[in-house]
Amino acid sequence: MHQVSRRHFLAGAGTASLAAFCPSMSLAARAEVADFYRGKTLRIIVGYGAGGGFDVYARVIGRHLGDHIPGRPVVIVENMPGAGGLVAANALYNTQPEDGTVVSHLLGELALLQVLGYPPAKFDAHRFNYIGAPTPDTPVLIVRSDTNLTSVAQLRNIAKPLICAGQAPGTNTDDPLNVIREAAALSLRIVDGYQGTHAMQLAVEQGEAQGTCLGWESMKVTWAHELQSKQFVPIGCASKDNDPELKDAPTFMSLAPDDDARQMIRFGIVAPSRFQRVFMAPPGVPPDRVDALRQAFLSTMKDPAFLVDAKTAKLSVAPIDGATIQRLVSDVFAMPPAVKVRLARAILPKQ
Amino acid sequence: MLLGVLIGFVIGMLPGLGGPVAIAVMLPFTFAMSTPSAFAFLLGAISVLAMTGDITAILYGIPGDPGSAALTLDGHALAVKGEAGRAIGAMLASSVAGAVVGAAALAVSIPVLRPILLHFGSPEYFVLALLGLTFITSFGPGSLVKGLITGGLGLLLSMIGVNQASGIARYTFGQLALWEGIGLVPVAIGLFAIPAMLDIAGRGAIAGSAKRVGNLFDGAKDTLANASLTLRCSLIGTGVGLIPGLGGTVAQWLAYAHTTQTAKAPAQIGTGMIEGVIGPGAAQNSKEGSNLIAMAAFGIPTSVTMALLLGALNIKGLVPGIPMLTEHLEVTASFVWLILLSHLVAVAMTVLVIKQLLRITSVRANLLLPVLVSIAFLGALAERNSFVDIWLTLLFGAISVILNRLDWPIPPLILGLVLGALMERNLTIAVARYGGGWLARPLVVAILAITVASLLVPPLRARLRRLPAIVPRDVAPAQKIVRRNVPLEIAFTGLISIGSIAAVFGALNWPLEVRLFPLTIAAPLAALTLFQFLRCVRDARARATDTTAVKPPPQAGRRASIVTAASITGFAVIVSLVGFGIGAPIAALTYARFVGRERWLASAIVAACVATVMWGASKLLPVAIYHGFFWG
Repeated sequence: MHQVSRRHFLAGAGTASLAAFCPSMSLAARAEVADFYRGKTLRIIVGYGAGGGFDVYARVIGRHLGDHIPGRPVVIVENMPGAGGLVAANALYNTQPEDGTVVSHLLGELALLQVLGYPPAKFDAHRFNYIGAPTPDTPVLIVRSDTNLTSVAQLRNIAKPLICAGQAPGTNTDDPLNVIREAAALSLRIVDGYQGTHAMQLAVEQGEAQGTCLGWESMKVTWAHELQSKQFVPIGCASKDNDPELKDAPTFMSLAPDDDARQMIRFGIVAPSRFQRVFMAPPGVPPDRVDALRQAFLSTMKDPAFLVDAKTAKLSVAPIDGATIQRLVSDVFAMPPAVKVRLARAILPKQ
Repeated sequence: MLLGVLIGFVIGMLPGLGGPVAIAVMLPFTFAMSTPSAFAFLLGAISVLAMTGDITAILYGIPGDPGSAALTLDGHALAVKGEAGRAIGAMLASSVAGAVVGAAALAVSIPVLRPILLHFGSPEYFVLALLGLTFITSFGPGSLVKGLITGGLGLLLSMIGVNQASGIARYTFGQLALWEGIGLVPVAIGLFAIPAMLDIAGRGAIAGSAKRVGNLFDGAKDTLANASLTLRCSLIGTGVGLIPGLGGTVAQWLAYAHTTQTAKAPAQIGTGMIEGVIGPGAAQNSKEGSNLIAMAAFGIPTSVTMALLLGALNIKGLVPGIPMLTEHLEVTASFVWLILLSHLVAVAMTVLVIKQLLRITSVRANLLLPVLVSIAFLGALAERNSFVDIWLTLLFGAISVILNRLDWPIPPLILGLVLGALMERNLTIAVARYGGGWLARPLVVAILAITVASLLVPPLRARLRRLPAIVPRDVAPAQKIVRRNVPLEIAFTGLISIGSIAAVFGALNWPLEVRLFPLTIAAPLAALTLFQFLRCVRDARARATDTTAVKPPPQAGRRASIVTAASITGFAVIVSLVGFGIGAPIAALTYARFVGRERWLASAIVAACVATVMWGASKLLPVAIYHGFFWG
């Protein structure tokens, strides 16, 4: 178990070298930003409850982020849970100050929901200023070994549908399954209503569910024991990222029968998995402050003190920079209308 | 651990600011600590919080957190009678006993716990919640209909929020803040703290005229005398604490119901009987141990506090699951020891400062209330950082005042609220997964049998012994006699019937699995309240000429309560306009000077206290102090 996390951790740290995106700021701009942040407080609003995965990331990052922002503001973490992050996302877009003193840590899934026309999302996701993500969150379908399944492709012709534990339609644990079912005509049934990933894992452990789709970065830590003993097996994934433990699990993309299906999987699963755990600022923040926050985020990801904390907390660190996320979100907005209709049908809760 | 105990003690004393806030404040400091000292630090605070929450529940009638609400009933009634010392003594003794029993039960069961609990799936949790729900029938003897109505109201309110299985929002009135349902903190503060505050205003101070406070040791003796009750309630707490999703709030109410059921004079429970302190006190503390084990072994937090502790576990790189019972067993075992130790330290601390604490009960209400109200509202806001929770607190305060005036039982409301959503979620999963087959699972059958037995046996036994199952009203002490306020009852039942009929119509357009539960609750509730409504109307006609009602409550006290109710509402309005930072001190000053007619100096000191609390909270707590309509 320790070995797994260390290997993963090192793999993550290795990719932390893509800081080159942000144009280096002029000295004058830097001084101006420092003047602004000096003595101020930067609030990180977590859209979920205290103690959860998002909260832990925000707190570990928040402990070091201030040291890398010019002017060294005090960083505090607040929780604003509600409606799967929509409360915080709506607040960030509509009511929070646009001066760079507020950043929010939210599910990237919310951007996808808004693109697909989900009415409660009161924001325009591509106008947010994306600061960065500490790690991708790669959906992986994991099943009990007593199902005798080895590949997600076997779900095309299986006698009884595979029973998977889910939370609710429109959440990042259900959406990948709904998308591949729609895109590749798989035989699987999602039983919704589990509260949180631990409850879903427990359902699989006790056999109430046969499998579930969760983020690989955290599963390989919390299920290290069960995965090593082959009690549970990953049978499909959004991407492999050269992870040896996923070498036998086909990618979801490999199931796609045609181009439409490929686009659905690309926009509905693969792209969001890169910005699932995103830090973002409201629209309208002055560009030099956005640049400063993006740079600070990336240098935090390389800060040895942060890496020590992240290692203790077994957090995966494989950062994605803000500019890349901004581009990925814009890509999602540009998906073809036909794909959008099919994705909306697969993913959105029926209101 | 000592530091943790101290922090927990201080924060726990502030009404409304309970466990979650304390742990959230302490969490950042644990980064720099070693794993054992971090958990000593946090668990020290958690165990003490349970106790100090109980102390505020007894002294002010304001539960320190939702887990202490049951103690506001008999505990606070005892404090009002001038027996706060005895009540606190009994609470301390039963808490320690509960902690010991809980810890012992766990130490014995750790090796077999996980295999046993893996047999509990959604169907089992559903029938367990059903069993818990039947306890509604044991509150307020002789008022089954009333209990069913308030319980039904609780169940219906639990339907507010997004139905998880479908993602459809129910009864949220377009408010995203209601998507995750009604939070327990505003409910607990509204139901129990607001009436307590009005009461304090009515009497002028907490323990009106009483000079004697009773002796701590009397309470400890009472606990010994009720050893069997203490043991049974501790076991209830331990068992309930293990069940994911049931833990936190339910244990104390089940213990309280059990106490009522087995008491010699059930009708007097709620009027200041020591048993009503001992039962919930024991359960409240025995559940902490099993909460912790459930969290460590399954990663399922049973309360907000446990969720935060799970975060601490994550930060320290400990992963909940089997390794916590094998590889890291020493950490899990240390939880048990830490809880025991910190309870003892907390008792020592309470004994040291009890004199000062009791003195608070004689502080003039005009000076005490502004501080209490500010902190309680801050606590209501702190859970979710949502101002909607402030309005909910007021709403539940109003409901509570009405229920108290009508002498209707309140506990079923909170039980329904906690259990309703839990039952629906587990039943939906059970049916989706097993079809009708879930009913045939052996554990389900066993628990259902217990449920039926617990419903049938008490009345049967009473009939066999030819004893009246209900103690006649006139045995109850004088305070319990409330003038029956028929017009109010008509208005209230009328309102609930309209509400539940509206709920029925609101549900009709939803898909079957989404409307099933709300309809099953709302339709009978509508029928029951209509029945009660008609009965009241009939009584009103019969009594139209009867003016020999019980003497009205003292006018002065009543006036003070009404003025205070208006002031509390005013407080919420002011704060909603200009925010806590400015609004709370202004409101406090205004209240103390103009409503309470205190001198300027005293009023200014109170306002300064409130301002200090707000400032401290904005610096220390993870709360975005609401800045109000104008500055927000």
